[in-house]
Amino acid sequence: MSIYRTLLICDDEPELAEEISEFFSAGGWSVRTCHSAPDALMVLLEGYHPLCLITDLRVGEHDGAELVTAARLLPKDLQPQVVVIITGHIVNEAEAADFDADLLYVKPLDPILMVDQIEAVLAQAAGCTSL
Amino acid sequence: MHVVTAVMVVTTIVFFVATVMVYNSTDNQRSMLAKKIHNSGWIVYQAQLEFLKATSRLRLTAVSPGPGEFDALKLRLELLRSRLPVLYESDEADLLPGLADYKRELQVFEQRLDGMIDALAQPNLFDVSGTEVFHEWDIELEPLGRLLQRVLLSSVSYNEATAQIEALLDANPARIPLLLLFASGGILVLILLAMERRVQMRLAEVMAGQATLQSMEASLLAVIQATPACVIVFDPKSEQVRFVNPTALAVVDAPLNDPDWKRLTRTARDVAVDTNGNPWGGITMTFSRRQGDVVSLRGSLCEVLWHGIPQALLVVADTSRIRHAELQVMQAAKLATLGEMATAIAHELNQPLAVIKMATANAARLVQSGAGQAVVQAKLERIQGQVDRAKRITDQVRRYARMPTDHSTGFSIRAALELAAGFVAEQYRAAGIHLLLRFNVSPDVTVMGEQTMFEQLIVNLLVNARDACESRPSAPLGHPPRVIVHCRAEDDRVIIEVDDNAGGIAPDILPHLFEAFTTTKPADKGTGLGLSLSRTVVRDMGGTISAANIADGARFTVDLPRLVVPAPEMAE
Repeated sequence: MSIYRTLLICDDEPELAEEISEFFSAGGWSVRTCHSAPDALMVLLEGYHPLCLITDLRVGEHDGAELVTAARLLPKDLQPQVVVIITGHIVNEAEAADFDADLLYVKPLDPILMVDQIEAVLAQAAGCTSL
Repeated sequence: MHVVTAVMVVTTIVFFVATVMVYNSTDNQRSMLAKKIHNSGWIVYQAQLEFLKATSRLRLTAVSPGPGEFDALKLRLELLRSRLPVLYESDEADLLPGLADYKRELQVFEQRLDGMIDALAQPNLFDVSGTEVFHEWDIELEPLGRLLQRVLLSSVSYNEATAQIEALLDANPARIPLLLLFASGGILVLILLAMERRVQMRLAEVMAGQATLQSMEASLLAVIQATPACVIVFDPKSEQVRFVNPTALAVVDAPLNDPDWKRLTRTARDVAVDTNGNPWGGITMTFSRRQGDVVSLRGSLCEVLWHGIPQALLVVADTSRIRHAELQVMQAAKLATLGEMATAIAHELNQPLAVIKMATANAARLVQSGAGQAVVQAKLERIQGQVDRAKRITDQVRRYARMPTDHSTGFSIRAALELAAGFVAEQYRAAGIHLLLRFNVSPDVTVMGEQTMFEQLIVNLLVNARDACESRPSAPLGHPPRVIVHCRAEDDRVIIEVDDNAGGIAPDILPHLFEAFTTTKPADKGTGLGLSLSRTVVRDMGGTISAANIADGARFTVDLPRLVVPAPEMAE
C-alpha cells in the first residue's frame, strides 16, 4: 500500500530548504516549506499534519526544538511520524533524543542517507502499527 | 659683605676727615697757645716797666717837685694803674701762674694808685704834705714792684716749662692724628684684604662651579652615551644630525652622513604630530633599516638648547622585542577568541556546505534523469554561489588569524566596524542576540592604525558583550538581549560606543577592567587579556578606551583621533 508522504520543512536558509524540498519532491513526497518556527507552527495548527517534519535546530531567532515540542503536543494521530532535526552546530548525534526527535543530522547532511533512514523509521512505525 | 665694606669705607673716610680736623685744630691751638704764652709774659713785662717808670718819676718828683712834674707823675701812675687789671682780666692773664693769689693784691694796689692819682689832682697837696709824700708813696709801692717781679719770674719759669712741653710735643708730634691716620690706613688695608678675600672666594666659587658644571656635563654625556635608548640631536631646519649616542648608531647602523639619518628624523617629526600639526604627545614608529629588517621605536621628540643653539632632541627606545612580544600576545588572544568562535564558524561554514551537498545531489539526479542543461546550469550556479559564501567565511577567518603587523595606515572606520561585526554576526544570530549597527559616519572617515588589530579590538568588545548577554539569567520582559554599536565623528575625533543591556559591570571590577588578567568570565572562557590588549591597541592609535554602566547594561567607549586627509589643491 502506497503511503501518501507529506513533509514539512522548516529552515531559515531558503536555498537549503528549497534543495531539500526538491530532493524529497523528486522522491514522491508532498512538501511544504517554512522559513521560521512560528510559520511552521501556524501551518501545523491550521491542520496540515505532515508525515515527516524536518526542522533546523535554530530557525532565525527561534528554537527549532520548540517547534518539535509543539508538534509532539498535537493529538497522537495528527503528530508527524518522523521528526528530523538538522543543525549546523557540532552536536553529538546521541543527543537527538534530548530534542525528542527521531533523527538528528549535522549539516552538511547526506540526503540519500537521510531519506533512507526516514523510510526506515516510517517502515518501523508501519510495522508497529500493523502489529 | 657689601654692607660691611661700605661701613668700613665710610669709617675710613670719617677717620680721615677727623684726622685732618684734629690735626688742624691741634696746630691752631698750639699756635694760639704759643702766642698767648708770649703775650702773657709781655703784659707782665709791660707792667713791670711801667712800675719802674712810675717809681723813677716819683723819686724825681720828690727831688724837684713842680706842676709839670706832678702831671708827668700822674700820667705814669695812670699808665701803671691801667696795666694792673690786664694782669688778671685779659686772656693772656689766664696763663699766668698764681693768678688767684696776686689778683687781690693787685686790686689793693689799684685802689692805692687811684688814691695817689686823685691826690695829684688836688692843687694844694704839696703845700700841706711837702715832698715827703712822694717818698711815702715810693715806699708804699715797693711791694707792688716785688709782686710784679715775682709774677714776672713765675711767668718766665712757667713759659720755660711750657716751652719744654712744646719741645716735647715737637719731639712726639701729633700722636692722635697719627693714630687716626694709622687707624684709617689699617682699615683701608683691612678693606683691601677683605675685598681681595671676597674676590678670591668668588673666584673659587666660580672655579668650583665651572668644575662642577664640567663634571656634570661629563657625567651627563656618559649617561647619554651609556643609555640603552637612542639619543639623537638634529637641526630641525636643515635636519643635519649634530649628535648621536652609540645606541642610535647601532640601531641605524649607518655613518652620520648617510641619508638614513634624515629618513629617521623626518619620520619621527611626521609621526610626532597629526595632520593638523598638533603634537601627539609621544612617538610610536617603525624604521626600516638598510638590512631590510624593521625596528619598532617608541619615545619622544622635543626642543633643546644644544651648545646654545635650538635643536631637536629625539629620544626613542628600540621596542622591537617588546613590540614583537605584544604582537605575539595579541595574536594569541586573537587565536583564543578564534578558538572560542570555532563552533560558530563551523556552523556558519556548514550552511553553504549543506546547500552545496543538497544541490549536488539534486544536480546528479537531474543529470541522471536527462534534465535540460539550463536546470543543471542553475544548480551549478547555486553551488558556485555557496562556494563563494564559504570562501568569504574562510577569508574572514584567515584575515582574523593573520599575525598583526606594526605598520599603521589610514583606514575607513566604518568598513572596519562592519568587518568586525560581520565576523561575530553568526554568533549573535545563533545566540539570539540582536546586533545593531548605528553608524553616523560616512565611509571616507578614516583613522590611523593597524586595521586588523582594531577589528580585533571591536570583535573583543562584541564577544564580551555577547558573553555578558548569555551569562544573564533572563532578560527582562520586553527587553531581549541586544548590542548596539554606535559610531560618530566629532570634530577631529571619532567616537565608537558598544552598548549592551546585559545588566552592567560590577562596580568593584569597573576600575580594574583594563588591567591584565581582570575577567568576569569563567576560567575556561576568558584569558583576562582582551581588554588590556584593547587598551594597548587604542593607545597605539593615539586614542582612549573607557567603560561605564548605563541604564540596563554597560557601555565601552573608544575615542580615536580622526585622520584628516588634506584636501587636494584645486586646479586653476
